[in-house]
Amino acid sequence: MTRGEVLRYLGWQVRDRTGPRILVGWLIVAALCLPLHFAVKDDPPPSPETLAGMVHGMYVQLAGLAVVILFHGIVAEDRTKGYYRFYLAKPVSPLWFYGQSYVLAVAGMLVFTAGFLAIFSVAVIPAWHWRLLTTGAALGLLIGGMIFALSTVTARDWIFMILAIITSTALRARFPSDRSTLGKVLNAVLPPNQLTDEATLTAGEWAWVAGWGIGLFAIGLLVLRRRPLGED
Amino acid sequence: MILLRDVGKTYRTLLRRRPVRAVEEFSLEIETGEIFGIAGPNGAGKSTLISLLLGFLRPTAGAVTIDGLAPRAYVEARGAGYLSELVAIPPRWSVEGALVRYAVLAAVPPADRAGRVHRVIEQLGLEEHRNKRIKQLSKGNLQRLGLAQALLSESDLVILDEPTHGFDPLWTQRFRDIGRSLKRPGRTVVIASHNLDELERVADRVGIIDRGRLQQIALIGAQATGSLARYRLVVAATSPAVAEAFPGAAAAADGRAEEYLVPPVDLPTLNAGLRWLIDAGVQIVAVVPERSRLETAFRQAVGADQ
Repeated sequence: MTRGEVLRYLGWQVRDRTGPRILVGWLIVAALCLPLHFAVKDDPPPSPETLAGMVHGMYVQLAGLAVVILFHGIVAEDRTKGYYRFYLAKPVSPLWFYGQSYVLAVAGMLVFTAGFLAIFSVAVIPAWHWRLLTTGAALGLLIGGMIFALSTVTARDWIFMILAIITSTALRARFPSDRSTLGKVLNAVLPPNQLTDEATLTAGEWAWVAGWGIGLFAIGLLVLRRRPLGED
Repeated sequence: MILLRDVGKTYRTLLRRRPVRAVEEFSLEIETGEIFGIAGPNGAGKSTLISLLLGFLRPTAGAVTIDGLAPRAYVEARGAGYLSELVAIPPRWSVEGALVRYAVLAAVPPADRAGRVHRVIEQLGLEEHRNKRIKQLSKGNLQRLGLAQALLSESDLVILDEPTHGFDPLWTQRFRDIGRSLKRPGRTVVIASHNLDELERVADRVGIIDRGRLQQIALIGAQATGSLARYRLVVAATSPAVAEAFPGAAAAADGRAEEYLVPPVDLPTLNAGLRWLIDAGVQIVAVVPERSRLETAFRQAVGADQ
């Protein structure tokens, strides 16, 4: 059965998704940590509220970058480089193979950002908050789902994801949801990426963000089912 | 059994105004237990056809089935031993590591995995390269690795696209033995190749395709006794009996006086003519096909003689 064989391949998928990308991730972490490290050393030190805001902002940036690093090319790389030909000539379903890769990337992103919070808490200031991780999970599902869906149709998945986020943010700013019907419609149909900037997500907001991500993931799976990887 | 019924594949892209028909009205039956060759000039549609057989592409017309299933359903259920024309494997993997991964995906039982990997490494002469990274391999060694991963799974469907691409003469020769060893009841083997000699030595039948259409199916070996071919006949001394045995035979312009070109004949006619010459006391030095039967069929099918 295809699912069983793909599950046995899980360890290698973890290695492929994280191996060469982890170094890039840690370099970015170091670049993000340094300003905060020096801010903490300032005299007088920032207030706890300011520090909490800085940590949250830094975490969201880090989580966003981690998602891009871990997800980009999740399907497109195999398609453009032709690696899929040997994978999918085996008794392997592309849905299981790439679906598993998405789940692994979300998990990898959470482990990576949790590791960052743990190290940062020990080395700089206490920063561990579960709510940060739940925000990170929602962000991972949303942005990851967006890249996954785009990756099934284009090699430039992360570039189109950034364009989609910029467009969504610009349209929301131009047409606020509390001022016009168009704003309300746009707020309903655009990906809710703005919510991940908030310090705390309510359960409803979390479900909205995660639901969008899972919906985009499902669209990606549908594309994989309907459109063979050999098609241009 | 592989069945293709009026299959067509047209490529359309946003940027390309005119659609490109890679395969057209293609109908073919490939029997289980058969080694079927596919020959054709560059751009004839061989690789598109193979992608259709593996479900990497969907036909835009007609239908493809393998044992009654759509190609993708068949491959996802049972797998295929497949070698692509261009071997693409992530460059950081090691040779042995790549084979272990492919064995896992091919559902090789864990107890057999190491043995199977060792066997194909040995069979394809990759022992000294087993710990090398893919990016360190030469083109020929990479091709051998591609072939090794195709043989790992011992599938009932084997599809090889230009299997000797990049091979040196020694490994081209060895491939013929490997190719012949693939034949077994219950297994269907499809080999696409530019190398007609290779197909003639390995395949049972060869489909010649050109401009996306199946032009002709050439029978190979014992099945081909009825097909016509030209021969170069060398005798010990010039003799008018040659023209009597083979009407239309003439001295070869590019050879010695004792060399004759025999016009296209089938095997029974050739043998009868040779017997007549021997009975007439003519000493036969050599009889060599001017072109292989497959090459003759190929040139006729693709219009290369015109």
